[in-house]
Amino acid sequence: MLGLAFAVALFGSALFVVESLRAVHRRASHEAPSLIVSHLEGGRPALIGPDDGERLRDLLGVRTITPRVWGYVFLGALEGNVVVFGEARGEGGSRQDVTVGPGVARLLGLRAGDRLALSTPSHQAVYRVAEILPREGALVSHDAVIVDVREARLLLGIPEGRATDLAIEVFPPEEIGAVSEEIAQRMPTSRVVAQADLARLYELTFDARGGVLGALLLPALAALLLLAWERLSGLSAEERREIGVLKAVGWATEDVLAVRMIEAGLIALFGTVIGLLVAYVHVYAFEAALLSRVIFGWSNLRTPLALAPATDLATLAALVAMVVVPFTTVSTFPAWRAASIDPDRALRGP
Amino acid sequence: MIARRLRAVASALAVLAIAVIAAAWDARARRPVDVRAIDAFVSRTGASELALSTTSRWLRHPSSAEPGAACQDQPPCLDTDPAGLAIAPPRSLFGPSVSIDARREGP
Repeated sequence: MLGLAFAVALFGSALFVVESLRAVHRRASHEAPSLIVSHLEGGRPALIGPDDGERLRDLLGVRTITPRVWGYVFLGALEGNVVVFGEARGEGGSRQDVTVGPGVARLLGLRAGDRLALSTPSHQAVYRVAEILPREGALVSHDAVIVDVREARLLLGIPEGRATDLAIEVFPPEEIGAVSEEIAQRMPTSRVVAQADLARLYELTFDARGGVLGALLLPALAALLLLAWERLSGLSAEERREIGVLKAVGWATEDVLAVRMIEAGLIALFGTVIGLLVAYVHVYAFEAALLSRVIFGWSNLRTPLALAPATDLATLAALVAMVVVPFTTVSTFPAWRAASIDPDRALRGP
Repeated sequence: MIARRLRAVASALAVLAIAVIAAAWDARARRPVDVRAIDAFVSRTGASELALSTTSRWLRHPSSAEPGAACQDQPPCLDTDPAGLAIAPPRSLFGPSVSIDARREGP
């Protein structure tokens, strides 16, 4: 039972992580722009020109076009990149205030009111930390630093009028495909990424990583099944005597088989539920500490997996089909062999 | 004997049922918090991509970078998929790379 619980906990942890991340990305895409348009030069992303947005304003279905200024700044103290986002604050907004993601704040020990120095080859400045983003949103904001767009241009070396990309809101959503095609025709050097494309990319990524992990766990499952076969094939002297007594008092082979199957079913039930509970605690209370580095790798700014459960019944059914059904199946033959022993031989011993 | 076994099984089932109900209650309690923080950030920046791997931009923003381009972000960047697996690379690898030294020294 413990072996089964262990196997279920491993598979269950992988499934819970993948399903929860899927749910986070689905949620995040609700508020995301319908289309992201970037400019390509030599097949690589480059800054988008000042007139590109204007060329798209008359497209039917385009509600807003927002040039986004964002990019990466390497922070020596973190030995890693942070993502700097420019935010339009208007003339009255403070240029010196920054909002930092929870990961950056934690690793640099920042609190609201502290100073944060950002330095790039094009600009150096010291900012005041006005706000620290909540840890609950770390999965999208962990490494973010939000600054005034004028400061972002200086830090990232993006001249006035140019932008990293364009965020386009399309309404109604049914028009997204048509708008996307029209943009590709009007701007042949652009790359248009719709939310649906991004969702597909993440689905594939999660499936791939979850699948790799599942494949790694298959030998453990095979070992468990072999162990279960060995354990259930060998009857102890007490079990043998018990079956002998039952058959001597009139139990049929089918009755003994049914009891043995119920026993195997109870073991499977207990093992599965305990395994799922362990997986739940591991993933949601301990942020999948044992698996996260294997799935997401190593990074200085490693994002804590503060996940919310999002597993549906189909996923649990898949887990049961993957672990519990094979376990119950391998229990059948030993159960039948035990049930069909001769009562006289069973009572006398081997 | 059988009654004792049945009592043990029933007790274990009851404990498991309580644990499952507690997990379901916990799952329900965890949901609303994440949603608000994520929605607020995405509507503020328009960035919905997940910060699962933060060092290489093709892992941080797969929609806007070339996948698989090793060292595209910094010379010593080793963050190739699956991002170093469970163990961090040796710290010594994060010094100046050979190519940078060679470039500085010239032919």
